[in-house]
Formats: sequence, C-alpha cells, structure tokens
Amino acid sequence: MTIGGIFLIKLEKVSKVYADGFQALKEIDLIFEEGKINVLIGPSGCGKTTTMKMINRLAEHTSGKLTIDGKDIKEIDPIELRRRTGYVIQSIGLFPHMTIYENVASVPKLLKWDKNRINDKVDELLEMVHLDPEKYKHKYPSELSGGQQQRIGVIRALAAEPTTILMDEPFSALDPISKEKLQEELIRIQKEIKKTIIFVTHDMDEAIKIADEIILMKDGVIVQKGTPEELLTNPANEFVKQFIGQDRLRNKNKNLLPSVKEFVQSDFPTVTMQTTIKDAVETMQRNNISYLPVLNDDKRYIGVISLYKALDKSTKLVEEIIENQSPILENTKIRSVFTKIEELNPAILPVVSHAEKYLGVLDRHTLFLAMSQVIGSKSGV
Amino acid sequence: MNVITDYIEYWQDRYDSILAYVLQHITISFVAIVLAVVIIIPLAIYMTKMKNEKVKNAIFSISNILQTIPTIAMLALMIPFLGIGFKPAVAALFLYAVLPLLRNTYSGIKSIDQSIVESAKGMGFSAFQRILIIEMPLAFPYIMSGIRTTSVYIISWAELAAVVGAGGLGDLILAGIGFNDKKMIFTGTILSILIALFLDVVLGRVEKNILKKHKGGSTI
Repeated sequence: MTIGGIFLIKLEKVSKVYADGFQALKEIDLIFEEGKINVLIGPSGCGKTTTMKMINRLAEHTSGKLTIDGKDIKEIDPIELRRRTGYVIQSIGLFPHMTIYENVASVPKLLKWDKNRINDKVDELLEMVHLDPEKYKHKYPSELSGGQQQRIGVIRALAAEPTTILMDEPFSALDPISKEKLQEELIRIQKEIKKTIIFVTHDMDEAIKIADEIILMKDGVIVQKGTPEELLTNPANEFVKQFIGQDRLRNKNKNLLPSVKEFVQSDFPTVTMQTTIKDAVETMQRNNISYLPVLNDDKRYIGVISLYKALDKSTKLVEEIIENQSPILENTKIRSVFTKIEELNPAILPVVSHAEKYLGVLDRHTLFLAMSQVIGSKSGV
Repeated sequence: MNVITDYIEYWQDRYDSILAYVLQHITISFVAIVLAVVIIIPLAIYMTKMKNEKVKNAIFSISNILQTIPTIAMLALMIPFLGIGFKPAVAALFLYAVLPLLRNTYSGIKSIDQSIVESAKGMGFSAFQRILIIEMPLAFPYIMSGIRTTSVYIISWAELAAVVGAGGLGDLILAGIGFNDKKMIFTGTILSILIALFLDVVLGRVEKNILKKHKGGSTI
C-alpha cells in the first residue's frame, strides 16, 4: 500500500543508542521496497536485527524518524502494530500447549475474527505449505519435524493477512535440506502473496537466493543496498567484497545466470543494405548459414534476411527483402532470452548495445554449453 | 471388639461437635489457601517481570525466613497483632504458604522457553494476554504442584490453630490430651489426614482434567 507515493516503511536518519551507551544504529536512511523480499545482512552486531525489531517496536529508535505509510511509528499502538505485522523468529516459538490450528489462529483470534473465517484461513494456509489440514490441524507442535514447525511459524505470521512480515533468521536453525526447501517455498509463496518481507540473515548464500533487495550493514550503518546482481557485479568497497566472499565473486556466473553479453558471437558475418543479393547468398553458402543480420553504414542493426527469400525473389539488393526482427539488448537476462526463443524460435538472435549499436549475434551453441555447465555445477540441488 | 464398638458409640454421641470441628478446620485452611493463591500467585507472576533484582531477592529472603519460624512461635507472634481466634490462625497459615507458592509459580514461569514469550509479544499479545493465554497455561503444572503441596501442609498445620483459640480439629486433640482421651486424639488426627488426602486427590483430578482439555485440542 503506498499512499501518494509514500513508501510503506521509511527510515530517516534513524539512530539507536542503548542504555549502556552502545550505538547500534547510526543515522540510517532506508526505504523498504514494497512487496519485495528485503534482506538485512551483515556480521553480528551490525544492527540488522535492531533495524528489523524497530519495525514492530520490539526495539525503539532513539532519534530520527521511522514512518509507516507516512505515519510516525511512535504514534501507532505497538500491540495493534504487531498484530498487523507478521513475525517469524529463528527458534520458531510455536506455542507448545496449543494445536497447530490454535497456533495459526492465534492472531486472528486476538483480532476477534469470525470463527468460519479463521477456519477457512487456517485451511488455506496449511494447504499453501502442502500440509494436509485434516491431518495436521489437531496435532501439537512437538509432533512435527523442525521443517514442518517452521512452515507453521511462517503461516502463523501470515494468518492475520499482514502487509509486512518480519523474519529474524527464520531458517538458520534448520538442517540444510529443510532450509533449502523452505527458502524455495518462501520464494514461491511470495509470488502469490506479494508481501513486504523484511528478512534478517547472516548467510550470504541465503540472501542471494531469496532477496529482491539486499541491505548490507556494518557497525550500525548501511554499506550497500541493491539487488543481489548489483552487489555481486558491483561491490561498493572492500568490506562488501570480503563479506560476499571471493568465491562467490569469482563464481557469480555460476550462481547467477550470466548475461547475454558473454555469448555474443561478434565475428558473425553481416551484410549492409547495399550488399547485392548475389553476394549475400554467397556469404551464406560459404558460412553454411541461412540468415544474416543487416546493418546500415553506422553499424546499426536494421533487420535480417533469409536465404529462402534471397533465392526466391529476383531482387537485386538486400534492402528489398529485409525482415523485421527485434534485437536483444546486451544486458538482457538470460531467462528472458529463453522465453523469447521459446515464443518465436528465431533462426538468429542479433544483439545490440544500449546505443543501438550492433554487437553480434547470440551464439546458441556456446549458450547451450554454458547452461549445461551451470546445471552441472548445481546438480544435487 | 470392644474398642471398635466403643469408638462407634463415641462417634454417635459426638458427631455433631466432630463435624463442627471438621468444618472449622476446613474453613481456616481453606481461607488461608485461597488467600495465598489469590495474593501470592499474582505476586510471583509480577516478580517474573520485575527488573529490580534487589527487591526480588528481598521478597525471596523474607519468604524463606517466614518458612523457618516454628509454627507454634508464628502463631504466638500473631497474637499481639491480631489477638486470638480465627484471624491470627489464618494469617499464620497464609505466611507459611508464601514460599512454596511463590517459588513454584516463579520458577514455573521462568522455565518457559523465552522464544515462545518473545514470539507472542512480537505477534501482538498484550502483557495481560501473554500471561493468561501463554505463560499461565505453560507454567500450570508447576503452579498446581505448588498449590497441592501448600494445601497439604496447611491442613496439617491448621491443627495448631487451636492454640490461638481458632478451633478446628486441633481443639479435639488438645482436649484429648487434657482428658487423656485416646479416641479424641485419634479422631482429630485421622480426620485431618483424611481431609489433606482428599484435597490432594481432588486437586490432582482438577489438574489432570485441565491438562487433558488442553491436550485434547479443544479451542479455548
């Protein structure tokens, strides 16, 4: 919910000094991206948990301004604020004396929801995390595995339909397999619910995997804020590099899908508008290809010609048989390239720079090899 | 055979007054227990939230000292303040109940996994709701065991209430000593034991029922 362009959660010069004089946060300016997974990360003592806990007033800031939907947080009743903010903690914190149903229903009950509404909501949420409501509703937390318990922890935070969910290292106590599964589930659920999630972790792999936006902190200040790609490709300073780790920086092309740029075949033959059909056909035959990109004199991309049309028509110049085919921008994500291939199945994929300059064509063979390597390195996941 | 028929006769003659003693005994004990539960349990819960360690330690020390005062001395000490009769007896028994109730309730609540309390707080339970819906039910077995122990003690100590003129089964025993009447002494003793056992069984049932209700998955 944004009102008049105001972001949901905004921190302006927010500081936090503890009673013993320790300054946990130093004049932080931060806007949490609405409807995204915002990951707060950093070494212990960097202030990430404090930052998160200020959002449901489990911690109070000592100076600066923290607003939610433009309203100063100090004017919002903390109890009411917490009821409309989901909260998931590392140690799960399910109520052991209550059934799964009662656990998930606890905030809706505090909000005095109608019984049928609560029932429907609990069923819906259990189904969302693939736990059969009839089987699990009346069980107690101790009868569930750790992974299942934290699934309940997550859906309990979603039960009262909050706009914001705070997650304090929710998966770090789980075994690696459950952890992996829950991260994937969180990404999947987020696609459905599109909440503003504020997720605290110290695990960079986790951050890269789930984050839309990473906020890297150190000693109470924000060192860098950006998408995982931005942090990996453009670390702000030595600390960021060090925190991300040399391995990840080196392997970023394995962890992340590489960009189109890496697969451009720049020596692919081209023709200009003024090339004669005869020459074009010859070029194609010599290189054993059936399509050629057409450029103008400024090396700008115009379109493509096909061997089929070149042979069929009794034309003289290339410009008469140019077919329109939109090129790919150099920084397009590989994922969208695949979508394009799937939809159009073009014979060649010309790549252009931002300045619309022709760079070459996408080499499907090397792309295929690179992808099989990525998949190979990720096998077992 | 003679002994038994004699004893039955004694009961037939005196059941009116025996019943009156029993009633007195139960009243004194019951008032002391209820007062202690109503006052000490909330105090113990409040103490779990208390930040001031000094005050907390002082309360624990006082309740410890109270426990070490001999019963007869405690009753005697009450007389200058409250005179004789029902009041000093209840007050003395109440003071004995402080420590077991305080300690059990306090440690019961303190034993709760802090992450549970923290998540309740973060979810928007008010302080009162947290105590009522989360902490009390989780500490319930501890609190209940405190109540049971205290009750049994109080019923047995209530025998001494007779010393300050509060009546109860102690009167029967004191009179038995005076008249050298074994029947009276025996009756006073056995009835007090039976009341204590009966109350313990009843409280045990109550505890089990409440726990079962929880484990049965009812929605409270």
